[in-house]
Amino acid sequence: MDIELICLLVMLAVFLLANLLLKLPVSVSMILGAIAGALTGGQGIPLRHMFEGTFTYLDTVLIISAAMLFMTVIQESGALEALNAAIVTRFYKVPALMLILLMLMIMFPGMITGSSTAAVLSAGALVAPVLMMIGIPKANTGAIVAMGAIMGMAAPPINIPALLIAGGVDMPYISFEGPLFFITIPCAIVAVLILGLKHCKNLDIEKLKGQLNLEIGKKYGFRLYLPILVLIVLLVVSKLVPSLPQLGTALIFLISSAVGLFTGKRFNVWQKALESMETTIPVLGKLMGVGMFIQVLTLVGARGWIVVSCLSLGTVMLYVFACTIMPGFGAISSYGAASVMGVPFLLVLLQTGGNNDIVLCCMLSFLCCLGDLMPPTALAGNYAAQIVGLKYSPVLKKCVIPFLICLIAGLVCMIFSGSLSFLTA
Amino acid sequence: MKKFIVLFLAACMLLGLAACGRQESTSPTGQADPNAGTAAVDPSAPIEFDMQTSEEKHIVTIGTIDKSLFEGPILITSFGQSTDASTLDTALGRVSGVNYTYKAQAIADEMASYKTVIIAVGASTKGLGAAGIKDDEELARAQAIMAKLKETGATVICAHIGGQTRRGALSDKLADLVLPQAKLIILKEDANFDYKFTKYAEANNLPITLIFAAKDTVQVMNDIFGK
Amino acid sequence: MKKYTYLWKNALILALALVFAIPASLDFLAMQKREPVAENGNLSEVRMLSEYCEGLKGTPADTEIYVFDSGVKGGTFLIFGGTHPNETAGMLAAVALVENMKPTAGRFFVIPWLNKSGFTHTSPLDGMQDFFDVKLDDGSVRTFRVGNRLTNPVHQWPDRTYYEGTSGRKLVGTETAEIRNVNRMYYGNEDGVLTEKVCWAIYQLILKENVNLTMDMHEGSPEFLYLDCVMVNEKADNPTAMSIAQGMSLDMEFDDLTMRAEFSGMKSYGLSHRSLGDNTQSMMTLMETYNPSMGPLHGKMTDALIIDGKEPNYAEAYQKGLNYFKVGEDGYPLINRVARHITCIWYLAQEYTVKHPDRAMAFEGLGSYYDMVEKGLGGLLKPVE
Repeated sequence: MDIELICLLVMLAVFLLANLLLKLPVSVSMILGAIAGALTGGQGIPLRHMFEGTFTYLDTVLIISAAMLFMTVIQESGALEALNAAIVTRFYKVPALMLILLMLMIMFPGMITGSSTAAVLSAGALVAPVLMMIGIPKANTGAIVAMGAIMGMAAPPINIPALLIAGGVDMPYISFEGPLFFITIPCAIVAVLILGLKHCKNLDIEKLKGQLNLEIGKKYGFRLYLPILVLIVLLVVSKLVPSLPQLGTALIFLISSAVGLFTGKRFNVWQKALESMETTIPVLGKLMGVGMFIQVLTLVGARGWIVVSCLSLGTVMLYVFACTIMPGFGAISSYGAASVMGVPFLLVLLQTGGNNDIVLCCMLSFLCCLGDLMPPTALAGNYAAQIVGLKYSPVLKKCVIPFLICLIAGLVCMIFSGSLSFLTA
Repeated sequence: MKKFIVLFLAACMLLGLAACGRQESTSPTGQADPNAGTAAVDPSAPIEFDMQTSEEKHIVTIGTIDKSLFEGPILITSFGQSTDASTLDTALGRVSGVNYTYKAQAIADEMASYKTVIIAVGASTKGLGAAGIKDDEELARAQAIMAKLKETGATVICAHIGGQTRRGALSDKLADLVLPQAKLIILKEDANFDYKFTKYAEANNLPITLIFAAKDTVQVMNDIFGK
Repeated sequence: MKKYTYLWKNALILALALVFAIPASLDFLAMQKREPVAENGNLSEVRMLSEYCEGLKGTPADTEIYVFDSGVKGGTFLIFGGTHPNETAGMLAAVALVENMKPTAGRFFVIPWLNKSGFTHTSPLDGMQDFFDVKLDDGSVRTFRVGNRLTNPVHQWPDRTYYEGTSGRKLVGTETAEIRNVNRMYYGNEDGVLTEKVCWAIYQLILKENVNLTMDMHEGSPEFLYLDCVMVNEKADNPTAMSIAQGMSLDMEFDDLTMRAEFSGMKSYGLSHRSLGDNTQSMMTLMETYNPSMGPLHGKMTDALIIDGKEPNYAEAYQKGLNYFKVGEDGYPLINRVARHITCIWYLAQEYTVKHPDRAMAFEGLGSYYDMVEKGLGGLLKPVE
């Protein structure tokens, strides 16, 4: 048995043991797995590498923290409740259309930032209460938010896994919009209808009105929505008019949160900020643990070993692996999946002939994005569950069917990428 | 549930790893067009065929070359703007006592001043891009030059020295323009995987010099133009 | 009472974090120190890059320029390595030149650590070595750094979500980090970010010193298409630039070495060969060899991987047709890559001189490719105090 394989198995085993048997947090389990792997690989305890790995996602960590603060602010200021009331009273007559619109709303921040977490924490947090109010069960709501966030992450203009894969093979990130819209929009619509439609066919508006807080919107009026508006404007403007001075996503969230402190109900900012950070620290820890885990995986040569081994498969197995390993790798990190597995997969698939490189790249990135639903990190699922107030397993259970549909859709598009070339024209 | 999914995932990975060990290797089949937009992969996995040149025998000439045909003034130009014309420039530059003009983008009107024209045939997307020339513009220039050369009766040498990677739709089109007027073909042999050039030479009783590597152009130029 | 337990718990966690953080940070701090260079009697002077851009003075990005003037009138050749610090052969080839070269015509400017800030850190997730050791023939050991291809974020951060360089390259999406990549920000900006100042200084150096020929030494991971290859911007010196490069290519071929010459990509905005070639009088070239420690397929990271360049994963990948570039079982040792860089430079100078005898440039002191390979790194590099 190759030493790299032994390292990999040791790392996985220690991680799973620590997490499942010793009930240690995922982040700590990953650290233990990393240490075990480094020792097995003869690298001692490589402090420098472990330290460096945790800093990989520093920018993401900052964005998530800022987005969490924003979410807390709009919740506490009453903006959420008011928005829910407004949406439901306007669209309750056409539930299918309402669902699709809400889904697009969830997707939007993901499309702009390329991050499913940002989508869940901003638009997801706004939409989830509406969905629950119109009668969709908590778990289904969480699943809708998680699926929407992932579709948003995969949808153009910014799809980070696609950018990573394209960058890896020296392919310009051009003409990706067609195939990415082609796969994400239908999948998003199907997902939201499967998960939501049967629960909200016959809406009784009078009954709903009883549950809605119609007062708060009247009391504060339009200014209640200012933080959301500021967020959207700043995010969109920074993408549309890039020549303006750049604030960065984290600062945009912070500015919007600051605005929210003065536009609605007053609350104890310090206390609520602490609370929101407390809920988010486990996820930040996971990101840091993931970084350390992959760095050690690379250091001991296990990453190279995995890639070379997978690439030695036949075409059929390759497709099977693309559909399992790529999203499966998302359990560790979807960006990791794109950069570690995506590039070599694309190279090999291209060699089988008759394929369209851009379509293939898009579909592979789509499969990577689905990885954000994979436990134990399950970034999208995790936060979606937090928003609806559940543990993430019931939410993920509801995601299984739409997830499989997406997987199959992605696979079919990959196999017939040649015939989809028109999308890249 | 969470435990179940984690275990399932781990099982998936282990299964995958186990499967890795016993798979046969794949061999790439599809032959990508070297002129296609983004060449992300090997555009030219070497194609096996019967070659007459080899590591031991770098230059093979089929037929007889009449050196008296190739009088000055001499022009080197490019059809397809690949780097091959500059290779010829360098190679001929190393033959002592030869005066020649090197102009990759020469135009038809200039042809009247030359008695021998060496045309480096082979399209390069990068080269055309660098020169800011579109495919059909290059094709039109080539057509005009060939028409003019028919009038002037200058001797044409068709040099295809870019090898297998230089073959492709546009390259072949350019070669087909030059071949009917050529008095000699110089070919880096790995480009002959479909025997296109040797077959043409045989059918038209044309001398052809096959070379194994680009550096052999120096020897070939010396043989033809050396005093 | 409860409040105190809370405090103690937090203090304990912080203390624990420091126990790990302090030794790790010492590791990183060690990378801030530049490697010493052996003395060479032929060296005319050492300048700092900040002479060409005031804003670089006193920053961690200011770097040494080793000037060799033959005293014989001729052309000027600018050679730099370390544009991307993880591309070890370029830096080491420049060091070898500085320690061994004897110019016989024209002037040579050699910069071994172009992105000096990049040498002070490594890239997260890639598990790179920070240092590697070379054992010299006299038994002494010299240690060199492997850095990151980007400027250290400690010196330039945060990356803007959008940036347009002076060449018109738009940095968005995942390319935003490239604002710290010297080879994306040419021709630089005097008042721009730190990385751009480095670019600007090079741009000014080429203009002020009337540089005729420039070589930017790189390496790529074995998946890359353009390896053992020189990119040439044919704009300056048109139409002879490509002929000069092809002359070098033929010379190398006569030595049984491959070094293709390719046109510089028209859309390679911000890269040295494109932007500097378009905006200065210098003939611009950029060279790549492959470095197996850089690719995603690399195995266990050790000194040996960097020095012997032997990576069975890539050899296997090539055999299975996954790699464009031929990677053999024997690997591509660092000394061969360094020797190939230097040989290419030597032939470029020679071919440039053939085409432009009035701007002659030539040097000796390193021998042929095969001499250098036989000597090995241990013989090519000189002992330092």
